[in-house]
Amino acid sequence: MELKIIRADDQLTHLALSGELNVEGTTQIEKEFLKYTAERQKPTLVDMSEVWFLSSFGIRLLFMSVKALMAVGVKMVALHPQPMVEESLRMVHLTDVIHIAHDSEEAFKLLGLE
Amino acid sequence: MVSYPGQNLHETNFEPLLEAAGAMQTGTFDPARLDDLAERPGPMGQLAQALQKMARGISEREERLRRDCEGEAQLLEITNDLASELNLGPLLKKIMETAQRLLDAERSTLFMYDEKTDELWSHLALGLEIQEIRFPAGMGIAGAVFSTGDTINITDAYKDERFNKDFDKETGFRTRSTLTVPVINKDGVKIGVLQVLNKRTGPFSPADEKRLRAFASQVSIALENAQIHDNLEKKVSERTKDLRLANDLLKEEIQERRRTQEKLVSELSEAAEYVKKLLPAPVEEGPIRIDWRFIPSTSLGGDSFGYHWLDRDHFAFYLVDVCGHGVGAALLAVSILNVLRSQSLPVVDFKDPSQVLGGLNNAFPMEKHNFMYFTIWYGVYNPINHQLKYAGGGHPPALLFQESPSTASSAVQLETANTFIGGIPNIVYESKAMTFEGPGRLYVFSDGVFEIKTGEKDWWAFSDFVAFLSKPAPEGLSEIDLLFDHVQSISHSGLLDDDFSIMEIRFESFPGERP
Repeated sequence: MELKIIRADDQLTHLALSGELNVEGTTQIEKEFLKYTAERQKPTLVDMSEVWFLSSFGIRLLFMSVKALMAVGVKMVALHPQPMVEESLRMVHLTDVIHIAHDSEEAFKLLGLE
Repeated sequence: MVSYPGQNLHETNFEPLLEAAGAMQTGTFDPARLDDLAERPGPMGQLAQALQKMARGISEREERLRRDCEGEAQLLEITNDLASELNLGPLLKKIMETAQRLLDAERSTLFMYDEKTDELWSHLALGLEIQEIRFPAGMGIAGAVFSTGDTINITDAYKDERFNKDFDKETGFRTRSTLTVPVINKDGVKIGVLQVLNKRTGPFSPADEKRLRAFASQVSIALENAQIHDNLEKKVSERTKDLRLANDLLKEEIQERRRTQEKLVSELSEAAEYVKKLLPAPVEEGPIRIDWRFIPSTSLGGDSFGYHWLDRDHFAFYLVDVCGHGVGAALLAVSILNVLRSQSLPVVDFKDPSQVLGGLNNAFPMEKHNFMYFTIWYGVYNPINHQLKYAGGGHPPALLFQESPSTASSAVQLETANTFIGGIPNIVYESKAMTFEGPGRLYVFSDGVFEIKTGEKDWWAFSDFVAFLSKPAPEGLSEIDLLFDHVQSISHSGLLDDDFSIMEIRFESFPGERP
């Protein structure tokens, strides 16, 4: 599992994930992911176009970040999730808190950064 | 021209002289053959005498050369012999024996220098014992040689005031002549002294001094090699001892870890057995028949399920999936199961799925359970009015197939738009209800049943899973067994990455019958 920092400034945290968010993959990036999301507490865009599996453990990580962001009134958007990943997020009915966008314009709109 | 009385040189026979000269060239000349000629007066006699002298001189030089070569060969042999001995004890003995033989002496001693005590020491045979003797490095003849680095050759030891008579007194030996040389290593440092006593054929000669000094230089090399070998052996021995100790400790640690691991495996097995025993037995008779399969991906999984009558008219069934697997997830799953079986949530009507999910959400906030959340599908069936009330919390939908005799049934997905349990406090969970119109089979399962990796980046589609379950199994076979076999066959690794938990609930009784 790989985590790339695309942007991390005062306005936005933009990350890209690639691989499988299973138990092993999630554990690999957990610390850094939380550092750049929950700790930074900025509107967060997570590019998930290269994530081809999302387990309950991966959902747990996303949710932990989202909860911390919600506490300070900012949002997280999952950008371009693969169909299976999107289905997993919908099945747990988290799309009200982990928003899904299929293009950047939609994502920035959801984050309130037009 | 000079002439000699009684001699006419023109008439003199020089043949013997010419023969003699020829023989000298080939080394076969015997000077005695010219004795007669040598006695003649005049040039003939003088020539003959000169030839004899020349021959004797050549012969002596050749003899010296022969002795030198023999000496060199002997020294080479001795050097090789010494070099072959790397153990210090036997080497010291060999050195002394060789020195004795080389110089044709009655005894020899090698004194080694002890830097720590500034003494010279050696092993001497005293009676039947070998004893170590030591004395200050400057004492006696040996001490004098050691101090100065000079060779000392004494013809009569008792006339030399440096000679210590004590050893003679103790051993009964009578020292006459001594030849003592220093032993110096390649760095020019004196490491000892080599002494030979009582040459059998007279006093020690300058040639003996040269020979003994040459031998002493070989001795220093042999001693150094033996010392290196000795040090190396000591190091190897120490290292071997250390390694053996480390190896023993490692073996002990491995055994200890093995014992701990075995204990752990045994305890995990026990725990897994306990969890399995918490699951209710399949129901094989009656209007509600339940079969299930529970295969955790590790020895302990995060899935759990159960079913029981709440009262005579309400039958509850539920399946829980805690995120992750292993001991932590299993412990939480068991806690949840116990709460549901004992109906121990305060102010909750267990006949109302939405209340149950709300109560669980407040009882198990993820912050207090190692940030673990769980999903659940909870249903309550009333066999009198055939109503099923249900609520899912972030869980895959249950699948209901209403039977048709000949064709595959289409599935009705029973789900509610609720998120998982333990994430957001105080949320209101919705429930739904439906009424059965005839017999049916309901499947409640965890995501491990359909999230099957079929390739490097490929997964079994949920729709394909639904289609598979919709086909009734042939007579005598079970749909859930066929499902398990199928997912094993399509799995990329042949193994299941997540817990496989599925309940099949068949509603047989109709209409108005209480089971």
